[in-house]
Amino acid sequence: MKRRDFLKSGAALAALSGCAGGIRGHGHVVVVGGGYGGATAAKYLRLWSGGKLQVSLVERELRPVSCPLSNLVIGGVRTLADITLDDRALKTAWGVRLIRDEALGIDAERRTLRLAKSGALAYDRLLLSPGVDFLWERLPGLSDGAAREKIPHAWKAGPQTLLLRKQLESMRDGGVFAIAIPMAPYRCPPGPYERACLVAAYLKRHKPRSKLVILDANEEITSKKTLFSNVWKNFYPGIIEYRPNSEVRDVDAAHLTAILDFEHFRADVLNLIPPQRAGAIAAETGLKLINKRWVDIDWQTLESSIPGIHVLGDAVFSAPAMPKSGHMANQHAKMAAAALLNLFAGEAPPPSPLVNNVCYSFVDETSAIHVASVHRYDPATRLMQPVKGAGGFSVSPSESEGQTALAWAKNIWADMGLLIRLDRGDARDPGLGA
Amino acid sequence: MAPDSGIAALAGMPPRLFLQKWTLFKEGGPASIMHQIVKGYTDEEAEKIAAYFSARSR
Repeated sequence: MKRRDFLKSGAALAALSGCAGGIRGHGHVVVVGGGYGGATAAKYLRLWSGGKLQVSLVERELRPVSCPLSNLVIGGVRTLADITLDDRALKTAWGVRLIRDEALGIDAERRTLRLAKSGALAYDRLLLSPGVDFLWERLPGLSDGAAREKIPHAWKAGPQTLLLRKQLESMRDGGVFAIAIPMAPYRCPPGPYERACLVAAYLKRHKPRSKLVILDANEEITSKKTLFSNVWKNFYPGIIEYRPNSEVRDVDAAHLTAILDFEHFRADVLNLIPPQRAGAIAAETGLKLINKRWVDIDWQTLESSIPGIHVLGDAVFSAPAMPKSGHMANQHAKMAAAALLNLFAGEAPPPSPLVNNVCYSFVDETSAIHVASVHRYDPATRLMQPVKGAGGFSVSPSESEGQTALAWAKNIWADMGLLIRLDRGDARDPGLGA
Repeated sequence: MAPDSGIAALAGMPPRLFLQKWTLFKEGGPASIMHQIVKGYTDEEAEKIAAYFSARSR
């Protein structure tokens, strides 16, 4: 046994509230979105109901791609195939009904979900895990598809990830690669800074006369500030330039130019991460939003303002100090699964949910850093609150944590009920009870 | 549990062994994250986690 034995336990700790024995749960839960939140929820609803609860998972992509680790693809360390997920085991091992379709609307009165191809789908409870959508209306210069190919976001992994990788590869030595970061909150707070590290690592090795400029709308680095600052100073001197308070208001796509308040910034590669809100199926169906962007939920049940519709993951208005991360979506999913099983059994939801978060960020091809936290339900504020004295950061980057970061990914994919393939030519089925 | 991930399985681990390891982390033992995570949980919660994993088959 190694000290890292316990890493995985984090992902299962939310199990505490849901593992009360007995067979219960009759009904049909429809889960929308097969990412870190939705896949986990579908699996755990089946696991904790002993297979009694009927669960359908609506996912529009045949093979969803993981956002965590996708910066390694941009840096040329991994391939897209390494992070392409296979959810067929949710059906074969866990008995989840997989529906390849897109959710277009909700009839909350009749409790039906409207799908693009297969019509209406009835549910007893609906669980939305749609992730984020981009606020394109804030960026008129990116209103058409051609402009979005010239200026990729690569903030939903897949073709956009490969596009940005290709742009980096074909950039001339001596060029400028710019990453524009929106005002928080956005998906994956440390993600843009990790991307900066991996792009800089590539530039240092292959195009050392080039520069990487970070145009951050925020007044300072929003996550792992000291660690990233030190990495940029020590690993990438003269390559990375960080500019706070630099919000991009629009772009001139024809000239690869970012338009800021007092400046037009021209780059050879412009990677603009747009401002975000809850995915459309959650943001445009009448659920109460906060700041017109994120879904307001009850933290004991993850239920929205509309009875029977629960929301989790990046789409919700985050609790204090709670990041929009894949790990946190996995934890939300277990909170929701436990609550739903209690509700189907006519019981109160678990009184004090307890979850944790960890985000690993690579700082070069092999070394990583982390931030970790624990969050407990607080009846006084009715919010999840960070537990004081718990959590923390890496002391410094290490290859050991780089290995742990890869192990984190493999284990959370297994926890989501997916087939695992990172580091292997073959795919393995974690199977029932794994 | 993912195969060959470098992290051994907790499923089926005797509760006493689990709690020994947990205590080492609480005392600051070497770890990537667990020495920081365990501080957010009570002893009673650690016992529940130990019981949950010991009852899972590998």
